[in-house]
Amino acid sequence: MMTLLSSVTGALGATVDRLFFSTDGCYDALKNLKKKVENVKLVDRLGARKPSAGTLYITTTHLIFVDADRAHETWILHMHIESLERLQMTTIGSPLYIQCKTFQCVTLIVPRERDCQDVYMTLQELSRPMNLDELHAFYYSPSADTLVQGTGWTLYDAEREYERMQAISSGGWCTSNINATYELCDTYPKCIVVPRGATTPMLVASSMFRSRGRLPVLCYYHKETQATITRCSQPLSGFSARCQEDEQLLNLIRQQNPTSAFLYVVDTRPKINALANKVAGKGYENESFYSDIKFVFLGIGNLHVMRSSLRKLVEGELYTWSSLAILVEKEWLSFGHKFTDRCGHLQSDQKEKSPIFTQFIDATWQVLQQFPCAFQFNDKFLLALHDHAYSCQFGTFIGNCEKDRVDLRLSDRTYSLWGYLLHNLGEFVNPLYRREDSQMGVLKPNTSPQNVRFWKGMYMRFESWIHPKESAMDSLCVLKDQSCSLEDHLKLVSKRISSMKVLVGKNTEQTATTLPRSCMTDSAISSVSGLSDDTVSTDVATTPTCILTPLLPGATREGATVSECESGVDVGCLQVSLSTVESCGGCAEGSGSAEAILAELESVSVEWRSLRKARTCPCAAHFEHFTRKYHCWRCGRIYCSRCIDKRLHLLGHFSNRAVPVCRNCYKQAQSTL
Amino acid sequence: MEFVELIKTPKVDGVVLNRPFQEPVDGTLCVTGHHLILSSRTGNHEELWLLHRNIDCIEKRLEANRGTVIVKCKNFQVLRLDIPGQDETFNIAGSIEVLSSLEDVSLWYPFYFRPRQFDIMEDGWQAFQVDSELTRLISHADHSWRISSVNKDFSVCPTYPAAVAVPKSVSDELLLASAGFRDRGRFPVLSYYHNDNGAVIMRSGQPLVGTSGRRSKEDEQLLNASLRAGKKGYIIDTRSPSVAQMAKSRGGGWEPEANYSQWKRVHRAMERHTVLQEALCKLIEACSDSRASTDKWLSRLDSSGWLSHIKDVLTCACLTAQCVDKEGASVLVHGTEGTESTLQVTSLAQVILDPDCRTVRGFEALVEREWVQAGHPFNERCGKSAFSNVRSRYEAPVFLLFLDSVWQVCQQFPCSFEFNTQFLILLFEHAYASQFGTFLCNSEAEKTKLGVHQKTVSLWSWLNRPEVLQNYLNPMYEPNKAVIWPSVAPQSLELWSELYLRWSQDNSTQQETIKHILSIKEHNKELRTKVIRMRRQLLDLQKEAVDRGLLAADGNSMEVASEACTSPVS
Repeated sequence: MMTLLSSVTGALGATVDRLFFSTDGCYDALKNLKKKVENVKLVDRLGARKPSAGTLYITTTHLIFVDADRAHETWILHMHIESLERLQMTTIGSPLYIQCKTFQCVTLIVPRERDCQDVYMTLQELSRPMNLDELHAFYYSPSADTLVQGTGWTLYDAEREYERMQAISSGGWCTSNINATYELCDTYPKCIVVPRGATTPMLVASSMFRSRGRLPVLCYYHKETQATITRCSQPLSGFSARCQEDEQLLNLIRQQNPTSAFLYVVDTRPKINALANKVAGKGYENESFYSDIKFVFLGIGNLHVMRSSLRKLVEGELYTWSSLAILVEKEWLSFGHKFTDRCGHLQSDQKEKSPIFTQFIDATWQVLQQFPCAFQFNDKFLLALHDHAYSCQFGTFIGNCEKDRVDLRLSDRTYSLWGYLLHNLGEFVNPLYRREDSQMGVLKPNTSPQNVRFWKGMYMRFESWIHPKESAMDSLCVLKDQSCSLEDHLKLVSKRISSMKVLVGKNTEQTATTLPRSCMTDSAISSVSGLSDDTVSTDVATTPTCILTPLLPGATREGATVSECESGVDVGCLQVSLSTVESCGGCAEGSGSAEAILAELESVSVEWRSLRKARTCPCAAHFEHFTRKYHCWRCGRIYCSRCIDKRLHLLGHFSNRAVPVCRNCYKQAQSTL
Repeated sequence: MEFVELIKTPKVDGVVLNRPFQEPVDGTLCVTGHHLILSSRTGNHEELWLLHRNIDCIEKRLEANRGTVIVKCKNFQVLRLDIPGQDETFNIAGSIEVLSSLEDVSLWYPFYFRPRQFDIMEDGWQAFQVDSELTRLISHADHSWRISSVNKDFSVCPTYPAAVAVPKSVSDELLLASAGFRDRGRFPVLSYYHNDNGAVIMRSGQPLVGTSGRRSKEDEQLLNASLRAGKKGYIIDTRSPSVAQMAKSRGGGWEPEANYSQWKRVHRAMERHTVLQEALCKLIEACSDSRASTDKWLSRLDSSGWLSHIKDVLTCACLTAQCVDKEGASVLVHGTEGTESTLQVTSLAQVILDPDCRTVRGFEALVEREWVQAGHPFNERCGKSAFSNVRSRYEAPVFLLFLDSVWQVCQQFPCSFEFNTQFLILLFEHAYASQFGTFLCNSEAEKTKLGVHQKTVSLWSWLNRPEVLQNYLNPMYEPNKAVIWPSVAPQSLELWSELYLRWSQDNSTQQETIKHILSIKEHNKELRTKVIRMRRQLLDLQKEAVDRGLLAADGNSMEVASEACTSPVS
């Protein structure tokens, strides 16, 4: 929700007015439609909170409800509206029941029936565009300094990915450009990987034998065991039909793994259940052996393999946010999961709709719950991924397969979700992530039904009163951020101490005797500075300083590929902090006065405010349980994401990084410069 | 009686121990008077050291020349022992059955346990003595309450401790009269004094109104004396109106409005005894069936009713806390005897209201005062756990339900409690089987009779040692002075998987996570102290430099200097 909120520059009531007048003109949908209704009442799902009266605004992209006292705002993206229903009229007005794809349910009570009907018609039209070109993604343009259009589109590169798995360098597999024009199989990507020995006729014949031309291709290569996961669709075999080439192809796949004489076939039908079931514990029962193929291959006694993204999640090295992004790109997008159909982006066949992607996200969350230190991303990352699969704000999930996306020229015309997520990484960092943990090898999630948990944060996200009143995770994020700031500060302080010592000690020989204290701390300082030297650099790389990543030189540079940014999270950040060491060390001698030193100390807050007492941001916006609260690194006060949009280098920091500060501190710091 | 007589086969070689998530251990099984011990042959493996008292029930299967004993523990652990020899299996199973259910409390392990690993630093029996705890409780009460020793020889009320807190204006004679009118002599006594507004929580047994409508002027006087001037009070009856009505025919009942005009009575039905026991059995049964489908699991969890019992307890506790904190009204809580649901409500209300109860010491004091000393019959209630088929009508997981409710609140306020989940699990385990005397017997009177305080060691003596306690502290704790209102919506209540699924899941990642959290917290703390120290040092050096004219001072910065040193915010 917060990600949606921050994506549209908005503030309280007055600005909402401005917003919807100024963003008009994107397309004509709003021309004759209802834009603003006063005295509307909003009732939430369980009716636990007192219905609040306020004003309803309809913009080109959002439905916005602002309380009479302007403390609460409810934003609903039109694309998130799953269903609209007009209920029986009551004495206070006409109710309109709205169910969302984000599992938010609200009832709006509009005083006049005519207005209600207008709102209903307006929303009906806005939430179900007739064709793809009307989708929000094609009109969405964030302010230029926050997000660059090209960012994120090149995150996934098929060949690079297969190279990373070392499938091709191992010699057994090769890329084939047989599908370069999407003629062989229009729902597969351009670049597919097949066994080295497979000939073109063999691939073509196999493709014809398979439903929708989806022939067996490589999707995961485990470099330690050389075991592979390949994917294909059902064969069009019936009982008697067989295809020599298809058999040969499978045989080749089997031979690529010298360590095993067997090949396992896993049929994931019923497909809808498969993903959830895998975690729900019954997945393995449901995956019966593929009987048709077993019939054909009975003589050889071989079985062969299909896969599931989840297993990869568990087995692979998919612990960082970028690897999850690549997984989604590869397994879901490039191999043709029909996002437009399944998510119901358009006003069309509702039968094609199905929550498969939601199930995948939930399953990932279950693994996350069981291994809290193993993943770089947190549950908010998964929520953002889920919501944006439906939001159509970004081009990433539009279209049904790679071919669609190329035809729509999405990478030129729209923004990529990955670019956006990358830009807002600070919200998605798991404070417990440890690289050691993710290198433990294969995770073995417990799949008994007792261990499957109900994800309140997903399905009951908007019923804020049922959630824990304190979040240990948020507190941990704060601790890590603060530690990061303090380490940086310590470096500067210890440097100042040593130069001050030189200054004091240079002129008087007796310092050591007259001031035993400073003598005693001599060793302490050296140990401290020694300690901070390595801890700063390692910790900076893993803590949520990633908030700052987009500000790093190179990351936001136009034309910079995301792969650069991606490595920037781990390495780039480190490099920046190292490279600034010299520049900072040079200027350090410059600050000669006591006042300057004092200014340095005052610029870094040691005591950050406790999250517990933070109920509202100074801007009066209420903190909900799911809103990330940000500390100003300079004054230690707490703000909402809208109010903490400034970045600044603090005088008291040794490195040159720009860190989050509140507007007030920003102004103050600017005026003293 | 000698234990030797009960142990026909004290030792068997070649026994294999099987536990989930652990390698089987092959070793020698020994049966002693109080323990079942398995020492591994290779010596590297962990030994089994199981208190007989912890065994809920066993199942034995005999084959030609070997046998299997499945040991089901009160802490929900299940072990399998493969024993060579039919006779041996038979003898061992027999010994365990007898030794695990000895009736005579003085034969139990606490009377034999002598701590060797530790010296007693602070005696747990002295830590929470009735007098001192009650004095602390009424320390802000402005002399309106006093401590009475009317029960010093346990003759007025056998389940009350030797000292109780009552309104100052009420004489001991009046207490005697009121005791005669209350179930088991449990006259209304102080449970909690709210320092903010002087409202109190009291508890008692049901009034013995009976079918004839008896009344006691003294009892009415006692209750009215607890009210503050011009304030009404609430009586929370933890039974439904119909159950309370039925109690009348057995001599019990409730306070009629006519006689208690300053009080408003509310009924909040809570389950007790067998219903709770059934719920726990069903819950554990469902938890241990890992092959069930998701639907089946969910329906079994639901039909056990455990979570809805928790909801009842929490709701009632919230109501009590609300009366006290929001309305400033005093509350009297009672059910039938006042030793079950009454204690759940009064103690949980204090967890919600009193920040002190959310610290380790405060919670220990609460358990001691509101459960042990208040006469919850631990011996009767915790005799058997979830597996046993033989059960008397006394067994009920009343205390466990309370701990689970506390856990629910902990989940919703993960930074407000000084102790962690393991602490609650520890209390649960020791309530059912322990080497310590804290949860022995049914009342203080029984404890005194058996000399428990002299002959056994208190749980707190061991637990409060820093090296032990550090394992039970919540790294995220940040003292919270506020009253904490938990959500009682069904969606907010969760299954306490760390307890009920403890033996059917691998807990190593959870422990790693806790360690990791601790290290983040420690690191942060270290940095903060270091920054403060080094800032001070820098300012000292700078001052020296300025004083000696080595550094430009630039005006009036010196006064501010000391401020910046400690806290630049504020």
